[in-house]
Amino acid sequence: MESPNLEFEYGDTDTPTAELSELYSYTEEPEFGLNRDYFEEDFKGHVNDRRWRELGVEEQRAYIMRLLDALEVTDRDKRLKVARAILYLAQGVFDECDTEMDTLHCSRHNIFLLYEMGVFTALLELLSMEIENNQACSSAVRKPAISLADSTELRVLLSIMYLMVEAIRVEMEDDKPEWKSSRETFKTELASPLCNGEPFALLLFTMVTKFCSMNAPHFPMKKVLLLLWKTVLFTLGGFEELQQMKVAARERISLPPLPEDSIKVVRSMRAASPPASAMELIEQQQQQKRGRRSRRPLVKQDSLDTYNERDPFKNDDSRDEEEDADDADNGLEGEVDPLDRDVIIQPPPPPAPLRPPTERVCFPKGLPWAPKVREKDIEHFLETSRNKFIDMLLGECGIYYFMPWAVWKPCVLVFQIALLKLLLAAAPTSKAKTDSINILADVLPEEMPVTVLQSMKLGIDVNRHKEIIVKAISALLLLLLKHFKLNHIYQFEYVSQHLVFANCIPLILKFFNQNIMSYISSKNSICVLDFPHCVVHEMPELTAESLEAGDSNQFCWRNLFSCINLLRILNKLTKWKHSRTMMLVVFKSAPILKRALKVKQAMMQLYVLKLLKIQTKYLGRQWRKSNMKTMSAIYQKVRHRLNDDWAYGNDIDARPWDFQAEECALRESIEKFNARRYDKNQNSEFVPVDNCLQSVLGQRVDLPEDFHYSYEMWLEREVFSQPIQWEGLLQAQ
Amino acid sequence: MALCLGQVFSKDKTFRPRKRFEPGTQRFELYKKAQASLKSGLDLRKVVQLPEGENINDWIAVHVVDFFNRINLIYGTVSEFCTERSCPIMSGGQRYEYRWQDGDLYKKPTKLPALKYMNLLMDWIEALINDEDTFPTRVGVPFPKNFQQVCKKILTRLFRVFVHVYIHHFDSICNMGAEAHINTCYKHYYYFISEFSFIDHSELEPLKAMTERICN
Repeated sequence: MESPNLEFEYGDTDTPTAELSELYSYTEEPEFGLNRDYFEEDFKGHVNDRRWRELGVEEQRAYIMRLLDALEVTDRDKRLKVARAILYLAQGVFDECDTEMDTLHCSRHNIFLLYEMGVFTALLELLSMEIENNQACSSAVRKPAISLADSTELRVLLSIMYLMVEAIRVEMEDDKPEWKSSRETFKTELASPLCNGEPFALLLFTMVTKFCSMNAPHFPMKKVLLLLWKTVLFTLGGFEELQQMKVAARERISLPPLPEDSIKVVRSMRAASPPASAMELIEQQQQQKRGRRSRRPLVKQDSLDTYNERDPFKNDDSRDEEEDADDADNGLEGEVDPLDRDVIIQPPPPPAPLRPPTERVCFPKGLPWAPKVREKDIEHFLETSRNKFIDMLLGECGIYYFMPWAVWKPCVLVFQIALLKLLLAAAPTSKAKTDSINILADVLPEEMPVTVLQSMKLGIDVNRHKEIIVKAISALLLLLLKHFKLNHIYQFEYVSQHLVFANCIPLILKFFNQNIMSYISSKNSICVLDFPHCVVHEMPELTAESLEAGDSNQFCWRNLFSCINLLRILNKLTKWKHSRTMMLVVFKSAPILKRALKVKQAMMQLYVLKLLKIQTKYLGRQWRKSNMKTMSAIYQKVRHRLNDDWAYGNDIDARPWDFQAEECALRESIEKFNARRYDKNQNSEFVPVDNCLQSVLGQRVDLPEDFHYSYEMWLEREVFSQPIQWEGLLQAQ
Repeated sequence: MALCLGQVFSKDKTFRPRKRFEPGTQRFELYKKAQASLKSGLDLRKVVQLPEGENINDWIAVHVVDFFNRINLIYGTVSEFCTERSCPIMSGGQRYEYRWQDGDLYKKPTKLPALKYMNLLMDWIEALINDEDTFPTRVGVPFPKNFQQVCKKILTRLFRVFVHVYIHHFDSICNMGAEAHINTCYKHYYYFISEFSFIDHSELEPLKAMTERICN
């Protein structure tokens, strides 16, 4: 009945091994052997009797050179074989390894070598070629049933690139110094206009939009999205870097430091659970009732139930049926509500030991978040100063290198809609429609399953595939929103508004309108098929039972991660926006969000509670009265705003809200921002200060005649002849 | 909404103490042990007095709304335990019974389950509070002449919430650790209604013993 707190640590990603195994679908598993075979075939032809790991570094380099040369053949099949050999290297030459750790070490070593040899750039060219391969696109469009056979080349290329980005992105303790510098170089490279004057991420985004416009249904979207997410994570930085940048930015414009580190605060929060006392109450009554009988049937609850709060923190799906009137457990006054009936009627669980007083749910001495006051004037002032100061002084450091806003801006609409389409398609509650995009193209085998076991396996694979896609999109969107917000508030508003207009809010709510508990605890994985386990160990025989049993994890990390990301995105879109908060009310999000509270994880509950808190004013006194547990949880866990009358405020008649007017006003401000900064004819007063060193130094400046004439003399007089008072440095100021 | 308050709230119809009653079961006595209090350092008796220069109707209005909000939430904390089966009538133990009458859907005093009574009561108060003619919010608009009478009826009925919660649901309150909170709210409420003599003594009868103990 009461599930324990989920031991979940939120972060940028899951463990490196988990991320690695999610790159491959189970249907791809036979290709590991294929990679190895092609490699060994070629390797044996050039290196007799020795294994890869026995070679010296120079020899390994030389071999890689050979492979690179071999890539430049016109025969597509030959190129594929070479690519597979390279992939095998990137995968860690697992046939020569005994353990998974071994494989990972070898993989890392190989990848840095591959990077040094310029393999990434070569692959990038091949990738560009494949993307522009119109023949492949058109044949794919005409194909009635696409399978993963149609994306083989792309999958191999993308896999190698993903392995490289991941391995180089993650810093490890025993990294060699040259690896550290490779990391920095790669990071800069990825952010720069690598291919056709565009950053790598933009290329991947183009793949996404091409796929979503149905022009390239064979593109392996899962891999593209994973690679895109990790590239953005690598080049821009994750949550910790964001926090550091935020702190630094505040310092620069002399804002007081943040009152707390939100990541740390959330980590120490515990999930809300039904108070111990409720359990005791039920125990008491169970004891009172045992042995009593009465003929009074249970009274069926009427519609007043809608006002009675179902305990939002208990997982009790079984209480939805209220049919059995035969159970004659009866009407003592003060009996527990039939909604909690299950507890009484079923064979009583071993009585929970009454917890000692110290373990009682106690009100914390302090609340986790320091209260804030938001004075609209200060906010407005800050915004305008940001426009003037941050724009002018800081420039757009981070995002500029990633993708100049001017380049990004026209595409953002299209990319976002594409991402949302994919999210919708991958959502667990989505129903496959024939004319919508098919995100399963890269997981479906050529031949459909024949046996029950095969069907089960494919079913698990497909669900896992969708879960990973949701994970990548949710993480990517959140990361981008955070970076845009830090960079410039109007970039963030621009992106947010487009997301809202693209119906992101109902989409996310629809996503949560499912059995969240079963989504969080889904077991769509087959451990023995996970890489690198599957290549290092003997493959046991799969049985239906073992597939059903799944793994021993308490919950599914990636699904919980996705849920939290989506909640955070929803918060970012609706925060401080009355019109969007009203959308939450109108879409009847409160019951959906309350159901999500069942998940015993503090961070997820926090973001749900925040979304409920902004709505309480509009939900009416009845709702608040009937949802005291939720109100209490909000009080305990969500930061208080001193001017916010969330508990007592009552704005039911705020309904004639002018959604249009608010969003239009915002849009106007955004347009002004974009016009002011990015349009061709710029008012010189608002031109941002150019602080890119190279462009400043590269400018031609016409110096006056007399400067040319007198410069050397000036130098001689003012610089070279002046003795330097070095002792001045030693004097205290 | 022209309420003829005298008719609607005839005491002898909606508040009915029974002449003969069985002594309550143990649970109905629990509240008598009420003691805990939030030690806020405020002298609640002083705090309710009308400050210098303050308009009495403003003072009353603010308190009525505040008490309404708080009592609403207090009831909310035990509402899951207050069901049609547990509390088939709105009552204060075996002795006191309340019936609902509003001149609208309920023209005669009607016995209702506590839950239903509460909902109707809260809705009724909310409607009054939201009514600009009764509780004006715009500057310069005066309070109606019968304002204090209306408040008297509101506060009288709100008192019944305390009665029901203390007598029927005090165990839940204690289990939640909310005893101090309800006691403090009650004390504040009691001092306020005493200060301005809003509630008749007979209505206060159900909680008399407890009040004597904690409001001193």
